[in-house]
Amino acid sequence: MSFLEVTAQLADGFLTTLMIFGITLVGALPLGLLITLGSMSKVKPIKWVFKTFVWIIRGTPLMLQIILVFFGPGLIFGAKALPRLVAVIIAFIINYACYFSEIYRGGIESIPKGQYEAGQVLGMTKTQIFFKVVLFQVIKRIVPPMGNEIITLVKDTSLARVIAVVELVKAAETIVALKSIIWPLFYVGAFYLLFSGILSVLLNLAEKKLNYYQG
Amino acid sequence: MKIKRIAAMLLAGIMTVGLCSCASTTTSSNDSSSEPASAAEGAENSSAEGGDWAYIADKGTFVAGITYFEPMNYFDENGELIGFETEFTKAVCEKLGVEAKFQEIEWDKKEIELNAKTIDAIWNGLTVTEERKENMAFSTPYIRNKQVVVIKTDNADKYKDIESMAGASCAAESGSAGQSAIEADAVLSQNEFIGASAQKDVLLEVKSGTVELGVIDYVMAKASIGADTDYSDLMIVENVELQPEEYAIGLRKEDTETLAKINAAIDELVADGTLKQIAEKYDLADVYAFN
Amino acid sequence: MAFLEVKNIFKRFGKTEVLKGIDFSMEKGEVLAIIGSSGSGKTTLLRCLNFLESPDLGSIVLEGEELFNAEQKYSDREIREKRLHFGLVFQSFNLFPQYTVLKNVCLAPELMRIDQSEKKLSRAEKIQIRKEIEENARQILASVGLSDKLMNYPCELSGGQQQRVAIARALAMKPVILCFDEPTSALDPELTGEVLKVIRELKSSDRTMIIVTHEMGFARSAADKVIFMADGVIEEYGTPDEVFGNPKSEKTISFLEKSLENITG
Repeated sequence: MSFLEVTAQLADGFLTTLMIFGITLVGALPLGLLITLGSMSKVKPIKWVFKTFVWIIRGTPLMLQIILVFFGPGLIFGAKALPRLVAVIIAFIINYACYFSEIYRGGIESIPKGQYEAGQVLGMTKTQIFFKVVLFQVIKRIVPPMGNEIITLVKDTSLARVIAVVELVKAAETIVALKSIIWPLFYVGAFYLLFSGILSVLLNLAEKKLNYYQG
Repeated sequence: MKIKRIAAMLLAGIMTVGLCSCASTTTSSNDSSSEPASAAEGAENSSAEGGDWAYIADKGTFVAGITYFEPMNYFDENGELIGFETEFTKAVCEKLGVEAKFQEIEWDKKEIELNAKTIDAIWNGLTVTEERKENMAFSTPYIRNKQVVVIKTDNADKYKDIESMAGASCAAESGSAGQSAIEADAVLSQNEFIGASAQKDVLLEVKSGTVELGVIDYVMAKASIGADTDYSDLMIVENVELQPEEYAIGLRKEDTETLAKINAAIDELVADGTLKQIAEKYDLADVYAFN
Repeated sequence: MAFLEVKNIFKRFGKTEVLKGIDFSMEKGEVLAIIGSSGSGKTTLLRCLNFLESPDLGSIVLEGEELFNAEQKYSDREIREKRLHFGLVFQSFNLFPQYTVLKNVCLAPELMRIDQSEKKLSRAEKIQIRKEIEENARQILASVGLSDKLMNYPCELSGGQQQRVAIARALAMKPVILCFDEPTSALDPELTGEVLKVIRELKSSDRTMIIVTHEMGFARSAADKVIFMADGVIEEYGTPDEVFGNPKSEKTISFLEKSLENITG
């Protein structure tokens, strides 16, 4: 199998990897914020439920969660299983939303009380204070830890193969299994490196952009 | 409230999956393995009113859980799925009047896939074992395969027979027929054993020199080792034959009606020579079970 | 009737009673200095006036209108409207770090007049309002001597400059009474002068102000009335000459002696 053929086949798997990555980000970024609001709620039971949920998700392996989302409905309720890719993406979104929510919470809690009070005495509404005063400062503070999670997400996508979703690593393994050639397995590293490299550059740019002020 | 339900489901799920994986790895202990099986039966009754065959006939498709490997299920130059099992599955499904579908699975999750009904059969060179019989039903075996020892060609003179292999490190896929063959062999069972996660990883271990001997099945070995592959420096040791194994289709234990229909279809395919033809086409005549 | 009447304010945090019945009043254009050791409750009193804390008991009356009564419940919206009578300058400035000096001053007026506007504004109207607000902000910033820093970010300014921006930001909301919570405590000594100078200028334009401060000299020279607080009550009240020159209470005398020692020693 030629280098080009292998590259073309891996590119197929890479597309799935990208899809898992992209949809997870789009879903988990806002869902994480909702979980943050829930876990910071003043209503104790709501706060407790959200915190327990975050604890369960962060305390169990993502691999197990993927298996559960896909096989769970059939094994427990005898229901029809979701399409594999959908199951993977749901598990990823829930998992990453929980991690993101903790980063958001850390960011929000790190904003000094004085910023809220300054907004209050100037007659701003709670929403205005959040969006016009606090949010931007939170974003600036969470970009570095979020960057870490996002790079981790790139590599975590390879977990999708536990339910036989053909992402990049699985695509390489298939070639290895069928063609009895080994090098594609190492070649996939180049894809991951390239992708995480581009992301690192973008994240660095974002950090620099946000660094126009200190504090 | 929704979150609560998800959390409850998660907890229940974690426990169930735990039980299932216990059931699939433990060899005896009837109590623990019968529980998830009966749960699956209950589920089945609620989802399909008719028998087990009605469930398959209703959806009109029969999903075979496979992994890709030559010569069982693989792709030709045009990207068409071909192979012995591919054509065999299609031939059986044609007799049954349903459409054959192929779903790639992770091999170590085949029992979960089957019980979760994400596939209808494990049909991919599945070895019949006593342990598996407790959790699934097997069709008539159609291939009688053997386990062979794979070594580096450099070691051709070193390992000529089973006696010379005493003390050499030995790899096989964990839980595979290869492992049981090693355990059953007087010499190899005394050697250091490395459990790999797949048969192809066994080849990788041998090639990279991390073990001396690899035990895999003959069909796989014949297809993977050759002049124009990355494993051209590996060879099968002639004259060393380990415990033979049989391949059959794995079905849900309660799918008795389906099993009967499939066995009848196999009988027909054997009788009219179709199955033998397919076996010859994929160079499997020497392991064909109905000679 | 006095301009501002504060009646019988009580406030406790958990088991600690911080304010134990505060009564005072002040006239329009007056400058009131509140002094006292830390923990005496003066900052809490100021925060009550700005609705950052809600008193457990008591009422606040401004120009005959009851702004607050502990017996009543107020919605967020009501509180927002009522607190606009007061401006507050914080000890630690609390400028918005991501905005320029000009934007820090313009932000709240823009939000109030555009986002919280009752009727839907046309684009042209919005532009017009923004222009007015910005023009006003430039004037206020000029009056505190920061015309050359409009496009700078807070982190690029000295502490004294930041506090002057904070004063301008409070002034832009046109408060009836401007409050200062120890406005020079977070500043290096050489920077306090520029801030106190701005406050003096505000006094000369007849602005009503309440200043919680540690600067005794400033309180004596700039204030019309002085309150000395100790342990949650008003211990002494009067003109600067009365409080500083002829204190009646033991606590006032010992406090003044101590702060004098600090200045000279």
